[in-house]
Amino acid sequence: MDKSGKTGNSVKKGISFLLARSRCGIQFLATLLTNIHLPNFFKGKIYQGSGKTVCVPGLNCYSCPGAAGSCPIGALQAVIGSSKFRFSYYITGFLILLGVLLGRFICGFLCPFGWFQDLLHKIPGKKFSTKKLRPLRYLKYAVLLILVLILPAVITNSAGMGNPFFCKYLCPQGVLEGAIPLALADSGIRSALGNLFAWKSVVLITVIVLSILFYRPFCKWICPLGAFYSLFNRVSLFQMQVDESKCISCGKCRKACKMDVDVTQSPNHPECIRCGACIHACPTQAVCYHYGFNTNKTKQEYEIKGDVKK
Amino acid sequence: MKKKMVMLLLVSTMLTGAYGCSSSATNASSSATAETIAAETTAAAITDSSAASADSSDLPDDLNELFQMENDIFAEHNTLWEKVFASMDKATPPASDDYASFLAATIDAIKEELSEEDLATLNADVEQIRKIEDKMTEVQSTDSDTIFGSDISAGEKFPAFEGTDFDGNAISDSIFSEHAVTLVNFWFNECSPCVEELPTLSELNKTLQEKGGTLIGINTEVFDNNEDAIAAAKELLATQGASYTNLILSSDSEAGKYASGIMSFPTTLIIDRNGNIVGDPIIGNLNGGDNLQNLMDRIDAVIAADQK
Repeated sequence: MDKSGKTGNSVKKGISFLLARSRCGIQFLATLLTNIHLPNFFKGKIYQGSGKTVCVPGLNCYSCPGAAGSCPIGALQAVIGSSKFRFSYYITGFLILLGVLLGRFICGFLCPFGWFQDLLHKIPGKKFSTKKLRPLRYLKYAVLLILVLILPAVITNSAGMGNPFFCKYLCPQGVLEGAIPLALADSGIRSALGNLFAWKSVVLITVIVLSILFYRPFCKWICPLGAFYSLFNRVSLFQMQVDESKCISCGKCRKACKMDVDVTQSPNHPECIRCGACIHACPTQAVCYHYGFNTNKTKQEYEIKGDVKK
Repeated sequence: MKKKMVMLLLVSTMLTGAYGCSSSATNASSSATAETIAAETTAAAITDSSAASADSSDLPDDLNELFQMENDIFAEHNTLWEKVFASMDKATPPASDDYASFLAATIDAIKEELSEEDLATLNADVEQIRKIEDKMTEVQSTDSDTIFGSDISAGEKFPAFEGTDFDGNAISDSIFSEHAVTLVNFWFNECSPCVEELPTLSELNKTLQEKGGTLIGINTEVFDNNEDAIAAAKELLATQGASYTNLILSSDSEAGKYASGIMSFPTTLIIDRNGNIVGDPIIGNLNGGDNLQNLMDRIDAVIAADQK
């Protein structure tokens, strides 16, 4: 590598360290900005202004009193379930754009529910590995396909309208951010709570308990938005990069990764949420974030593959 | 570290709130618990009426619960009360101005047909109802529980309005004074549960008409004579077989602004003859479960109160 490449690399690594380090703070800011209308929590109202025509990048309920924008998954179901069914160009296009620009960086840094699970996991206690539960991660694609895309389009009432199945029957974020704050502040909503709320509360409590024991179980196994973004990790502009010349194959990154990814084998694995644990763990600072198009990276991937073949 | 403690605290309070809310929503204790939690956990900005009103009695402050208590009293001595109600057509018109006294007068009119014991039971019930009625009047005038987080609350008047129905006939808030009870249902075209309850509402309208009440719908998409929305709404009403009156209002009228502030659909309000909103709004679809029966009970109570 030439000199400028080397300098460029250390700057990159410096930024990577900084970014990975400040992840919790960025998550806090992202959650705050996503739910900026704080007074509404006390009024029991939902913000209904023009901000709601835009989707936020993470999983954040439209009915959250503070929500500044719409939930992308909720919006998707609303359009698909409407009687004048149109393919939702706007929302799908927006999600594809986010997927390409950021991929699952959104999961790692910008999603309020992701942060919620991270915080829960910090509660001390015995932690379990999800390595042996890897097949479960295909469940979230089924949730995306069936609950979000197919059922709202297919199961319609006599007026041709579908229900938002994921929002209605599964999403715990809706209970946490929508139902609970609204029910606390509004007696009309409080008296409307029934069996569906009871079921959703069970889902929320289960996710909370699982999040304390496992790392981000919802992100791994259930989240349809994570499922969507994961399809873009390999083509996203936001990448993990392993410096082949520095990597000593010690395996510390693989051990540090709580999403069960080996960044040296597959730096842009669909499960990688770009949390940066591998960046911290690497003793030779071989791992860093990389943003943008880069033919060097392709070369590196070939080199890594070459090593494996040996 | 501090941030994480705050988060843990928030999480545990939310869980406690969820536990409080997840038990049966219609029983008095859980709604009282939820209100206590609301008062404790959220800032003083929430005006909790149970904290604000200074009353010495142990009656709850929620109109729904008070109505339910009245109904429970009637249900407890069902056979006796049925006798009383059956005699009401023959009873002299009420001379006094409150419901409890009206009941007492009716009982008095048929006391020949009742045994000593039954008479005593009924009169005891009437006294309890009198206390509940007093409490209801008190609650209705001081209730600051917010609906939709707006400034209009149960016990306040529905905003005055002037508009037309879908056929161009003029409708105004004079409709309230022409009926013992009016149900106002808010909905919009893309709202799936609203559309699904349209047949139920149509049936309800027919039942109400027989009792001297009526039901009107306000579709929040048809404001200002939005042609496309009106056409879509008409189609939905036709598909679902609903023929009751639906209003077209202007969006900058008081009623229009009120409707625009509603965030949960469908929402149904019970309005009495004087244009007052009675009790909490009913949020959610009326199909299935106890919703419709609870609503009928509340409607009957308003009609009965109207007859005094």
